[in-house]
Amino acid sequence: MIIEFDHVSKRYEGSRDALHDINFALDRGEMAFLTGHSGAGKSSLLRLIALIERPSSGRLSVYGKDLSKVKPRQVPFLRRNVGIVFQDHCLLDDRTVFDNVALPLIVSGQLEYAEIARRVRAALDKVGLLDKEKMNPLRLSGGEQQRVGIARAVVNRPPLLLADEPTGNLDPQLSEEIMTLFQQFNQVGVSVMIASHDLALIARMRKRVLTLKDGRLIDDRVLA
Amino acid sequence: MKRRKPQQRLSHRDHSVSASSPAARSKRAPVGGLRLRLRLYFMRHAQAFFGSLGRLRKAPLASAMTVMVIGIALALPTGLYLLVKNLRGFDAQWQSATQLSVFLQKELPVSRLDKFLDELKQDKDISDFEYRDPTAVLIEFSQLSDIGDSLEVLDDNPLPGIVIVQSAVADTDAMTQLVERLEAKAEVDFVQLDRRWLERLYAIVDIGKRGVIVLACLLGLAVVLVVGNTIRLSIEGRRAEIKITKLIGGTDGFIRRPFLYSGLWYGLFGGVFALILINIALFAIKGPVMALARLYDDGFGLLAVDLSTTAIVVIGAVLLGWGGSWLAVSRHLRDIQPT
Repeated sequence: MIIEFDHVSKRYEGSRDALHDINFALDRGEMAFLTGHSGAGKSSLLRLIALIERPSSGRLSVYGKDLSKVKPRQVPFLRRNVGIVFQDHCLLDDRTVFDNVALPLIVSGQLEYAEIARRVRAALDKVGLLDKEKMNPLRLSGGEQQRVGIARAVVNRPPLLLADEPTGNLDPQLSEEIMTLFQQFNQVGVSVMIASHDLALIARMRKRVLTLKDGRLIDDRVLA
Repeated sequence: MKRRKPQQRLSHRDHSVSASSPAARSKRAPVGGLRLRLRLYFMRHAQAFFGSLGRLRKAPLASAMTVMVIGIALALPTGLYLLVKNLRGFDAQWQSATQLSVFLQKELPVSRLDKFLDELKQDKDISDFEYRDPTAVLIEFSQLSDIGDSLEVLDDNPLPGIVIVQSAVADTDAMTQLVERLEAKAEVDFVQLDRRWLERLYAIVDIGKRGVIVLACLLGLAVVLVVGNTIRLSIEGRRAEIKITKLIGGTDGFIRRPFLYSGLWYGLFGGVFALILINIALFAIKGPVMALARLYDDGFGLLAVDLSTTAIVVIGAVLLGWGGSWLAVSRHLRDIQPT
């Protein structure tokens, strides 16, 4: 199991449970959508997996490791194994596309420059932006920026990819392209979990769908 | 403009993304041994080292202002230190020059004077002496002071004869003994130890020395605060970058590094600027100081920033800059967490 939620709840100070008694597991190589209205708890759930927040109760493990036993100083090393794609891309506009994508490799500091350049170009090639590597991300279209974000998330070759509303700001055609891209990563064995409220698009992907409502997991099925 | 279809590009390149457990990944991680690890370690530091320098250059005016503030703050105590150090050198030179002014009794008969000077000649504690008769003393006195003219109205010379004695001994005990021995003689009115004013100067210099320490502490603190504040602003300006870096697995050390190196650069440039300021200031006051030195038979040494002072200023500035940024980084980086 890549992700395992076991009676996980998350309560923020002075409010009702953002997540209540969540139970599910994501298998290696699986792709799943997380859906529900805004405020249903999709982002909270992803934040728990990315160790941005900790569960209030229950047991959550990622790669079989109980996250409650992860010390703060180990958090960065765990995050390196999880690629995250954000709705607003979170690209840095003071550097080129290439440097944005290279950031995870620079951060981990395990590779020499030639190898970093090779991997960055491989990732950019995969998202179809190899010819834009020297550009500033601000000069790219929304769909292109999102693809840079995806290239950055996969450049480290993480076994798990998380995406929080990756198509939130894109038109239907671009959204479809982005989803297809995720599907391709899944086909080569990457586990993928995408939070999205675009039900029509999700339906076309024919994958497992987890539905959240008011912090509870109310539905978990594979769309055929 | 046709957008390249991403899916077409994936099919033949899919080997570069493969799913595997973290355990399997770690086996695949670079295992180049100690040499590669060392090289990567230096590469990471070089990146932050030169990266932070490049960042200072991106905002030249703001950086220059910080550097100048640091430079001025460091130049003040360093300049005072040099002044005190040179005064002490001056003082040390004069302490060995042990001169006594022996004031004789007034209207001393020539025979007793000769006998007294003979005694001085035989005293092995005295290396040299020079007798100035009352007339010579009067002339010298009227040349040196304003009341010289009023002395002329006096009928007779009120001044005694003086013997300027150069002692052969230098240490304080022997000097005191010599003074006591001379004062015991009937021909002597009193003996003045010329280095007493030097002792007073020494005391003033001592106060100056303490002043340098106090000033250096205060202005050193100012440098720490200036660098700390600059780094704090720079952390604020890079909030988004820090958040993203944390999200993609940047350790605190990685995030801290460029800020610490910025502090180091600020310190280094500030220190160098301080040295430039001091040298300019020394050049400006060189003329009057040399004139003063001539008045004191060149006892006052050449004011100059020596190598050890240069090293202390530069190393101290670097440490203060580093310390200031450490303070800011440890206080503010923790507050920035991804949401």
